[in-house]
Amino acid sequence: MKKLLVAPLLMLAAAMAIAPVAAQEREDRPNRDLSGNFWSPTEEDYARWRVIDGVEDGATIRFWPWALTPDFEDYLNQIIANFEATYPGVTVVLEGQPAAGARDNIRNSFAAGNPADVINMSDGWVAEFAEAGVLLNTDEALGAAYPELREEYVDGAWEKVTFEGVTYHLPWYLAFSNVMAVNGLIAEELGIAAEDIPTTWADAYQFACDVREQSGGAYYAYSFPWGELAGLGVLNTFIGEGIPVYNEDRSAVVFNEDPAAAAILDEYKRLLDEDCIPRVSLTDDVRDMIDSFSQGEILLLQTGPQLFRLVEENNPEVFESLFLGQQFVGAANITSIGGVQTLAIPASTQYPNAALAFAQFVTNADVQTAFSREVPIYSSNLVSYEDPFFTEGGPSLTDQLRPLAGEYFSTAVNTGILDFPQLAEVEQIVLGEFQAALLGVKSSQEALDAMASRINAILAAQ
Amino acid sequence: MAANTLLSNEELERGRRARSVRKHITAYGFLAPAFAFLIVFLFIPLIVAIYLSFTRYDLLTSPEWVGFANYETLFQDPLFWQGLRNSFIYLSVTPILIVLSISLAIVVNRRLRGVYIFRTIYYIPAVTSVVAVGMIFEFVFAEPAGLLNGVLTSLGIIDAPINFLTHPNSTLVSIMLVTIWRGIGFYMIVFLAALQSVPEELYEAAALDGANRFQQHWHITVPGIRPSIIFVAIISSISALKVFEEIWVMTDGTAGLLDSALTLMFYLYRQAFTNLEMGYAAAIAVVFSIITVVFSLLNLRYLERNNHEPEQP
Repeated sequence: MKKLLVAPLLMLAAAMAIAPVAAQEREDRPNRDLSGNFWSPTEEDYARWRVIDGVEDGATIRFWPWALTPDFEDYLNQIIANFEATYPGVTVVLEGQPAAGARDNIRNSFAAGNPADVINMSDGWVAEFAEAGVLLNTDEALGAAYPELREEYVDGAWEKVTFEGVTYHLPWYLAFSNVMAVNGLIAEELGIAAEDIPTTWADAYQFACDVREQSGGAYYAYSFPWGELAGLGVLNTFIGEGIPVYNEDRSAVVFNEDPAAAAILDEYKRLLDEDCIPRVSLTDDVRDMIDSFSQGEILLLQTGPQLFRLVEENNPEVFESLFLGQQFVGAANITSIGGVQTLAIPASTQYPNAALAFAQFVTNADVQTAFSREVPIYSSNLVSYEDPFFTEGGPSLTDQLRPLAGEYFSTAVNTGILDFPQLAEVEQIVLGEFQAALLGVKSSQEALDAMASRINAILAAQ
Repeated sequence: MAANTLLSNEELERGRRARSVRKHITAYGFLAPAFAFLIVFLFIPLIVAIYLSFTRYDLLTSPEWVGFANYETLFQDPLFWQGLRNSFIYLSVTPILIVLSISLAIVVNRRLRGVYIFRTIYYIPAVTSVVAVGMIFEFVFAEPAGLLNGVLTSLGIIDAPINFLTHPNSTLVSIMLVTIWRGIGFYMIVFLAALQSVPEELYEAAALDGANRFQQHWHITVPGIRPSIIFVAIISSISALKVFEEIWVMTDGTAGLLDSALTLMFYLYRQAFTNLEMGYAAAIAVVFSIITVVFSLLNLRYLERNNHEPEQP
């Protein structure tokens, strides 16, 4: 009798263990749409998603996203289930990488000759692998073979990282580079309205000193994350101000020849010396900058909206008071494409078509729209922005940005500063000379000349 | 009978040899796992590192033989010399650590109620994760209103905040303070164990002879714990030369403004894992290892020589 009872129970348990987990609502994912085509796909959806030819039957490919598991594991598993139904005969193995050490893990996997077939990389990481010639040329594999699919991607994201003019990734999710959040508590205390906040960097420099003076030294207008971003950020700033970074054939950098570049560094130094911006700007990274803003010491925060959640976690009172302002722009009046998460495919993969199919699948409009519903990041696929989810906004700060995203990403400029060979060394050179100028070790012009000369030595050696 | 005796001796000899061989096999059998471990994780990496130091290797493509080029570049590289100089500056934590931890050990080497609580409290930094230590000291050194700046300002000692981590001249010193804070408890325990082996009667005799507390410690405690001092001097020197974690955590991986906290180990890491110059990093590692070994031998020789010098009557 006992056996009769136990056997069905064991069978039931086994069935539960192997059955796919049904999609579920989650309180922390209020925008998740379980009735949409991502969570409830039909045969028509599978047919529509099947766009890559020659996918190897019986292929098993390994997928390495980083910093997404376990938080987004249900979303990733649903991608895999949908993909395996779209391309029957292909199996995808999810091997999520933790944020810490992800880049080293990827390097080590290549060194060991065992990289995954589809690898999620931050945009700044791609160059070294492209330079070493270990990645699939996606301009050929997708751009030339499937031009209609290439057209769907945001140009600035597709071209965010190139090596010798060639792209080696598919752009995945994007972030706004800069959105201006205003601490409403400080603004109210100082009587500053949204229209009082300048919209150009030229006016923003003096505004920083005015806020400091007006608040009796209690608040700063804004701070910088120079400890982390100076290497690339300062070159981005030059481009934003209309200062050419390269010469015409991109064989040398020339930003030091424009006096406006030294003038910017002089202005930064003045802000530091006169305590118009916090001195910790020299060493802060983005996280530190957000922490200072959250503590209620700083009026403005210009960063990606996906990071506003940190303000909410740190200080709900400040978060509740936030309102959006216009971001500062330079003389060239451009917005640059923000951070791009990419999917790269090793050139050595045994299943290039299956890997390409999977990378394309992860970045198709439906799959990326579903991801934007999970978390406030943005799709690299322009077709996503035709979805009502993007055309209609909502009450929260991040909801308000969604209707702006389509235009933002179709016009955002790729500043092309990630194309340097030996990028890590170039970053260190720029950071060191930038610090030398701000600390008064060198004049701004001397620092820029040294910066350009050292970068040009690297370019000339190629 | 003689033949029997001779045979018996041969058998005895064979038996002895067999026992000796078995004994050796047993000994080598016990040594083998540790030796295999050392071969795999020490000797082979050492040989590979020496080989890589003569190559250009980016981890992603095959190494390319470049002869002594890495070493030639190294000795002309200003950052190498800056790292070396900072590593030697960092060594100054060693005498400070020894003096402070001996003093602390003497303080807690008393029969006081609750002294175990103090010993535990002093030891806590040694078992605290370096990331947590980094967060604590980010608060301690924060500007303009971190713990230190806040206290010093409220006491009227300073008018403007001290730029602990935002001035090139103070970054390395600030991080050295963190190392001292972290290390003091561990070395205190070492010295405490040593102190408890110094006979109490010596202090009583010295007191009867009129020696004050300082004289008692100088003439009894210090000679009595000299082997521990040698041990601590060597391991803390090697730790100081190898310092990496504190610098990484306190400078967010940048080595501070103008590379002011760049030590040789940090530079090695940067070349290897940021710039992917594995061959160059291996050359730094080889030079660094030679420096560490030479320094440790000199340290040992100097301290042992003093150890064997006869006491003055």
